[in-house]
Amino acid sequence: MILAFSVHTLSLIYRFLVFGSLPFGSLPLSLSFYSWTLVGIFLLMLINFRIHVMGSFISPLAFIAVLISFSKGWSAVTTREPWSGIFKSAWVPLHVTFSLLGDSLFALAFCAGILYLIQEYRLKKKRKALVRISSLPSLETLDRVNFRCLTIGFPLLTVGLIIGAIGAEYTLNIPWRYDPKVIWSVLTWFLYAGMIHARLIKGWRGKKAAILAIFGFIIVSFSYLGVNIFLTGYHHFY
Amino acid sequence: MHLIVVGLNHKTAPVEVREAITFSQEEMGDAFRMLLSLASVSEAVILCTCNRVEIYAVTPEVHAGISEVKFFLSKYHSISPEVLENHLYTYSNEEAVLHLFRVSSSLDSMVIGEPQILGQVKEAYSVACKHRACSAILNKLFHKAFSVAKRIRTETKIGSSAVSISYAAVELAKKIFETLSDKIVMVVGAGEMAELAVKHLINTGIKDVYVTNRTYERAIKLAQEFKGKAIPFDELYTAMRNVDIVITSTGSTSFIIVPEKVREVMRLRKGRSVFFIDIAVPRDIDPSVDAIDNVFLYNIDDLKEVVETNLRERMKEAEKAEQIIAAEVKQFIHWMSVLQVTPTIVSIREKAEEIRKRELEKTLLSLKNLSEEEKRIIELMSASIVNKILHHPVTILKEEAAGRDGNLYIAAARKLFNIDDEAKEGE
Repeated sequence: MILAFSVHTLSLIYRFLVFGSLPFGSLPLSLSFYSWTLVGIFLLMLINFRIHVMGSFISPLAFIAVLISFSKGWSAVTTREPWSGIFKSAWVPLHVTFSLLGDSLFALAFCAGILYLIQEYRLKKKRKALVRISSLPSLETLDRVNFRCLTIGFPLLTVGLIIGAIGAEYTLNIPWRYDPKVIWSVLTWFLYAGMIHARLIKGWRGKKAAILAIFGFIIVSFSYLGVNIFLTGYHHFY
Repeated sequence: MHLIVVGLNHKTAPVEVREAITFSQEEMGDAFRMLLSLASVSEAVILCTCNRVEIYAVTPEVHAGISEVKFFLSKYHSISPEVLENHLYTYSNEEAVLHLFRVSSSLDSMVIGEPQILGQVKEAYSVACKHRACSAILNKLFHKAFSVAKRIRTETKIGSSAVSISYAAVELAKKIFETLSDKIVMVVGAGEMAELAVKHLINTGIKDVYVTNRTYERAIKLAQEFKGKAIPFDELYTAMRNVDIVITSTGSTSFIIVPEKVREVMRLRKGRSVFFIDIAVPRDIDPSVDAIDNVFLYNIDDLKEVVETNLRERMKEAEKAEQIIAAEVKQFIHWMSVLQVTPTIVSIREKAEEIRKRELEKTLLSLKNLSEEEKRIIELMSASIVNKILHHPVTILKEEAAGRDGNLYIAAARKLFNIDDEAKEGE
């Protein structure tokens, strides 16, 4: 995993040197970047949490992201993105970077949530499936990972959205409020805001938090991928 | 030289017999003195635990060795040999090595995979060393046994899961909590098993122990024992707000802990998990408590189930361990046979060297006009002839010594090279 991450990092540096830009210009490119941030953040988290088992969930996720990225067009990865005026500003890279970092953290929270539910199911079930339980991290660890991802991911998403909003005012002279991606993203924002609120105020920890993290990630993924596929808007290049 | 083991364990002898032939620490000196004075015993280790008494010995002759050790056991403990005979097992060489490896890896234990036995074997070996009863073969054998046991611990999961109720409780706590060092455990009531579980938790490292009991004095007494805090019984639920693990073990006939109250506690705890362990029969905790989110309730039957599943798992791991042991036994037997053949090979070489030197001297005396260089060349030639001739027999001897007819080959070699019997075999 570390090896793959290193290779990916090198390819990103190479691409930056050749094209002078971070790979945000199209959906395949941003997906590829997304898988990079996902793995990167996971590797960073291993320093603080004993969650190596989660690697077996992160890898396929990153793999799927890269796979979609490739299937959407290999050429897009290797060639310069179609420049349009708006990419020249600093707003877009910042907007995309922050949003994708946030998304990656939510993906991690999603994985922790799934593992939590599996572990919780086994512990509640008692009689069966206890044998192989030993390999999974403890519930408390998974819950902590979940919350940490939320508390870091949420501000990143917030910053990403704000930059997107301001940037849009500067670079596009069209009303941005009705773009489906924007609507979905704002929805996501409220969902995660609610999640953090529920946890801190009402004590929605553990199982509920895990289910919410899973639900949240599905919404995030839809606003990231689904909107592009099913709906149209000016985010069409992603 | 041969290895033998004579002993009995929980499978072959009832406890009355086992305790009758046990060795106390104080008697060890006498026991070793008697053992080593036997004609056929040159090295010995006495392994004595509550489940087994075994004597490992090195002897020049298997049958004589075994009967002498048996005689020693019956005489030392004044038990008739006939009675003892029914409970004893004996192994020699390969089987003896296998037996020790299995014992120290805890494959022969009552609870397979229990960790104490290795310590006991180590202790037995060090006592034997203290009484100078160990030499080359037993030193090597026991050190090998320790490393095999360690290898099995790390390479199989034989000791990884809990096989006692109280350990299972600790193991489960570790599945729920990341660390126990910031957690508080509360004991409700008192009971041997509950106390054992708390002791295990304290050993694992827990922040604090609360004790509560209907009789406050008993709570205070138990709290002192655990260096914990006594809680009045009516503050049970108030205390529970800060407690992460609750162990109940009261004599109450109705439920002490009920879901409505636990829900209330969970709300105040902001959902932080609680692990309830109900060891009492009849149960102290309403089973529907388990349905509450972030609450985990295990009663005595659940824990027993965990233990049984783990035991079955250990059996599977034991099979892997047996394979490791089989390979290690082979290696050890090979080492022993090489050790056995070494004196013979040394004697053959010495004899050849002696002949070479004698003949070289004679030759050089008759060849008077040789230069130093020419002398050196002749000397080299003699050495290389000896080496070339001996190379094959020695190689074959080393190889065959590990085989079934090893002793036969050694005897034949000694006869063929006419080695006098002064050099004692296997020394």
